[in-house]
Amino acid sequence: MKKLLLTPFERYAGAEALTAGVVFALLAVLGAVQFNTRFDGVLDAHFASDKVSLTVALTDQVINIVSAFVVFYILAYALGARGIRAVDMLGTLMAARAPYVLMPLFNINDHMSRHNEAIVDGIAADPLNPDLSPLLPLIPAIILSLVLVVWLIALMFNAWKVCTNFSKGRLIGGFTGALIVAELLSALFLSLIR
Amino acid sequence: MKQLPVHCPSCSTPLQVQRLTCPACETIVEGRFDLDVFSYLRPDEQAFVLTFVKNSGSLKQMAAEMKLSYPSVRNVLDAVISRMAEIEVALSSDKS
Repeated sequence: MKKLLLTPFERYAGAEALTAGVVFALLAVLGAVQFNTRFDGVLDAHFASDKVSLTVALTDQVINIVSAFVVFYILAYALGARGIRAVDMLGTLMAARAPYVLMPLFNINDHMSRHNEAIVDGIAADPLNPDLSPLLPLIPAIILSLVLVVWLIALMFNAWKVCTNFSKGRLIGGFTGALIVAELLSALFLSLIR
Repeated sequence: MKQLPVHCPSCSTPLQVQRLTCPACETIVEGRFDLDVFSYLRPDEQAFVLTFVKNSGSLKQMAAEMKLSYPSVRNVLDAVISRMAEIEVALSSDKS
């Protein structure tokens, strides 16, 4: 079970991972539309008070996936990896986004966005002594969402490791660089589209 | 089955085979025979090479048989290839 949750790509890659990744992406789009969640960056998830349209949710997913794939694939070859199948890199990176399928559930009934607004209103009303009581109901969701972020990064690391077969510096440094560039690239594209 | 020792336990030099025996008629052949690169691989690496040959070199079939993903099998193959290269270098340096 631990292997399936943290290092699934030692067992599943290629078409299997790609199929799972497509299913996860579609579920994330449905969740984003239903519970007003924006995935506005490879690692980002924000809870909106406004309605998130199907077009916006789909665009978010496509740009996040394409950014991650392009950056990871090019960087892997730039660092000396050879013979990586595109289907393995794309499939594992898409399947790695499985934890984010759960992210929109934190915003059922606008739970997160309502309390966020209450906090912002409290700060605006009394900046020196704001009412932070709306923060308390958010704490469990904040902790759980951090777990999902860590889980996503762990799965993306496993995808990078299995697909590139790198070790030591190229494994850790390459992954860190790829993740940062992919995050910046996706955020940049999404801000340009908006 | 006992594992064939391939290095001298005293000085770590690669061992040679000096004596071979026919289990049927007990004929004994004596001489100095080098072990091949394959003999120096660990048992799990030897098993991998055997499976690789039996599957006609198809990593896809290997992945299905070993219950691993395609890139994982390729990574094991790369590790075995670099081990064989290391062994060849070590054997040639021991001979010279």
